[in-house]
Amino acid sequence: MDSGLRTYAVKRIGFAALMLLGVSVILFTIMRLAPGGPEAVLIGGEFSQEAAAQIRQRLGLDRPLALQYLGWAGAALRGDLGRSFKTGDPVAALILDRLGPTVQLTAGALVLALGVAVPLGVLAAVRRGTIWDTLGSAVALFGVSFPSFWLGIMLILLFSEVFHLLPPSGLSEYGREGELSARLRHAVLPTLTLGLIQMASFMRFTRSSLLEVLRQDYVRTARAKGLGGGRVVWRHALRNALIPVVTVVGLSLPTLVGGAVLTETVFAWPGIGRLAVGAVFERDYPVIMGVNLLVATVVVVANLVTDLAYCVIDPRISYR
Amino acid sequence: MIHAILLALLVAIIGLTPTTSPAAGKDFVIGLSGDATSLNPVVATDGQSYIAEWPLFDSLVELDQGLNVKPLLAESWEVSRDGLTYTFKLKRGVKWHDGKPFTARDVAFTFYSVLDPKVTTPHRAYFDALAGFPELTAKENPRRPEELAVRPIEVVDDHTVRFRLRYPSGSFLAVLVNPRAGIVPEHLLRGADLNTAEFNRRPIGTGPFKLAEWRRGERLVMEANDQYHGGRPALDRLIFRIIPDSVVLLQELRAGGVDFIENPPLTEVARLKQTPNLKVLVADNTSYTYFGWRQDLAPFTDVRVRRALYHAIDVPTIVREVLQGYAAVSTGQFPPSSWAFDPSVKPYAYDPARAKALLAEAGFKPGSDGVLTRDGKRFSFSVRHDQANQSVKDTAVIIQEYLKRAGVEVHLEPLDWPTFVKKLFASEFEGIVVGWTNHHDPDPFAYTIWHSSQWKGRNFAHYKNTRVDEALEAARRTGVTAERKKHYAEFSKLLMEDAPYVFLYFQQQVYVTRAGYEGFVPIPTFAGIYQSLKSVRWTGK
Repeated sequence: MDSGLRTYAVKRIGFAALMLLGVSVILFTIMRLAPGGPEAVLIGGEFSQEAAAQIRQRLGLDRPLALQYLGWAGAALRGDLGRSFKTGDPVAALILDRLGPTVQLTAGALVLALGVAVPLGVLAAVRRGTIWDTLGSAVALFGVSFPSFWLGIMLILLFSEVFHLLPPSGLSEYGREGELSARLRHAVLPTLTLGLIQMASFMRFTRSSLLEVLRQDYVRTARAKGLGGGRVVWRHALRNALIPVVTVVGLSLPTLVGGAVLTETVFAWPGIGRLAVGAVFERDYPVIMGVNLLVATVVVVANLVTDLAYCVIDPRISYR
Repeated sequence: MIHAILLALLVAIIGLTPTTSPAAGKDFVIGLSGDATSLNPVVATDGQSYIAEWPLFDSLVELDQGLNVKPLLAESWEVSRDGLTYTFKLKRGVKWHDGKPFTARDVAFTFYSVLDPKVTTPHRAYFDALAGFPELTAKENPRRPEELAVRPIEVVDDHTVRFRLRYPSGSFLAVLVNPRAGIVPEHLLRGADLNTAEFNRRPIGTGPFKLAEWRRGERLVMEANDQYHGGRPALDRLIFRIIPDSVVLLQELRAGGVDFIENPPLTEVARLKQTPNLKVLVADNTSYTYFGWRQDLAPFTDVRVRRALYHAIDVPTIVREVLQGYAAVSTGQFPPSSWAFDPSVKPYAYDPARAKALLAEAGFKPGSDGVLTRDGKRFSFSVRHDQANQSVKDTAVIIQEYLKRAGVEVHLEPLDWPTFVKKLFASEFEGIVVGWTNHHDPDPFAYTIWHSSQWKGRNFAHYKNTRVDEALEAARRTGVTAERKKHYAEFSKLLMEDAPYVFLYFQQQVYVTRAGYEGFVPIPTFAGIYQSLKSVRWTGK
């Protein structure tokens, strides 16, 4: 690594850390600006002012906001994200517990989306203006048009209630967690729901990017050399066409996580998204902070890695 | 083609076969919309926690379908002639889930914990009648039980426990029932902070089921307690699955993934009744939904205005349209199933003409925009309600429409629950529509909602009527049911005369279960049906 790049990397990492600090301050403030508080949820229907005051004191919510933030941030720096207001479990353990299902869901959806979108995009680009193109566009339109909560419920209706083929919700059945087939059966509908929504934009990007590449000189040269149509498209054109698609995949990460929030709620999928939704409704501040910090870190790190990777991959980019 | 290949692959991997329900009759799967908070009955107070801790902990006494108490951990009891001493004989041979014997010390420990001001629990107020209550629960320098001249709870021997009261209380036995009064083990909790104890996540009780697993936000699994003092339950396992979406919950029931759900969308109930392998169970409830307002804000200070609002709203139609008939019209604080209910109290009938006349009498004149005005002020106010409760939401919309016809303008303000509750208790509202928990005994809630000493508590609408105060106090301080009944009848009449709210309805609890499960007892109180899980069995029919 040359020194210019090293300085740049150090700068970028420092900036990323500052960014996370900023995000945590903003999150903390916004979260606490929202009306209501956890005490109403913790007490339930038999609310009393006395019990509420007691809970606020126990949770440290009666202290000045700035002190609360400093307390939280200090502990977070030491790796302690606090305990859930609702259950008393350590936030880190709650998140760790939910990470697996979310990674499984989002990774599965991403693979599915790419696996379908890229071939469809290629087909639509190569056969531009034919029925394949229209069909591809229709699929894309379908994907972007329907919100995941609606799509999820429709898929459940079709596959569980009408055809009795797949279970409607959950990660697995009790006592069958170890069985791969049970887990896969439960994963089909949520993965499909989340994947379909991503599919649309990936397909459109593949199509337009490939169309552009196909018009370029080197493709014409390849064709002129007498290479077969398939070989030109798959070996020469697609590889270049996929570069912007890969960028889009990277950028789609927050969307994917956002989609997972809804999808996990519909399918009672015990992942990070549901943890976050529950925490927001219950004003479980430590959990809200923990989950959002995790998502922010993932996004910041992903951007950092992308930026650093650019200059490693592409020799034309240099930093001073 | 690609789709076909993918589908073929999928089928090959997963081996698509129709879904089957888990071992019928052995695992009973209950669908819940949310997870429990705590499984310790001393500190658990929300609905989901009540449902989940109930099968794990037994209380001294339990309710029957007529809301009378019957023995559970207490075999029998004696009440002294002056009504101030209750002596309970405890069942022998009862064991905690960890095998240790259950004794009178556990009972004393449980209720001293409830009284301990360091413990966060709204149940404390229900024990107001206990001797030493003010000293033990004082915010500043609370006394310890040993420091009192008279022990409020005395362990006579391993199987006898005595409670001493400072005034005769008709509600004392009634507050000793689940889910608010499950007995917790002293040997595991002594010295622990009950608010945060690990026990609350891994509880040990004396109940018919033992906790096997709690995966937060996903499921709770309980296994039959072979040593249960009332005989081993017929079901091997209770599996509570957390499924937040009500539509998906319903689909899980139809697909066989769950065997029991509560509160399906009411518009679906007729269809569910037609489904051959499902059974709909209905239980009355003690909680009512009302349309209320701040009693101390004009123009609600004028009784003519309050009665006019009552006359302007057709409650039976709301019950029919919004609740699909699964509710009883409310005439006050007490449900028709309660012994304190007085059938002679009648609500103000739907009579738009009368409503208009009363408002005119109160000095309101129609304004240019159709809204009534008085002294240049339009009769317009906001009504806050919980945005997540569908029947409350629909009710609020209908009320808005009825009042518009009467010349009163209502702005609806749906709020999320934590915000709504906070505003409610801070008395930050003009009007509200809310469904509220209620106790099966009349005292705990009638007193805290309507007594004028409770403005900082549940009387957040700021109601005050000295005659009502007197009736409530008199009813509280007698152990004789006939006398209590008389005082509560007086209270109910006064309340309806004042028309402090439009009492709307007591919504019923609707449950759907798979046909073949028998033994449910729909006790007419909140979540009362869950008490009968120990008697539920699979008949296969």
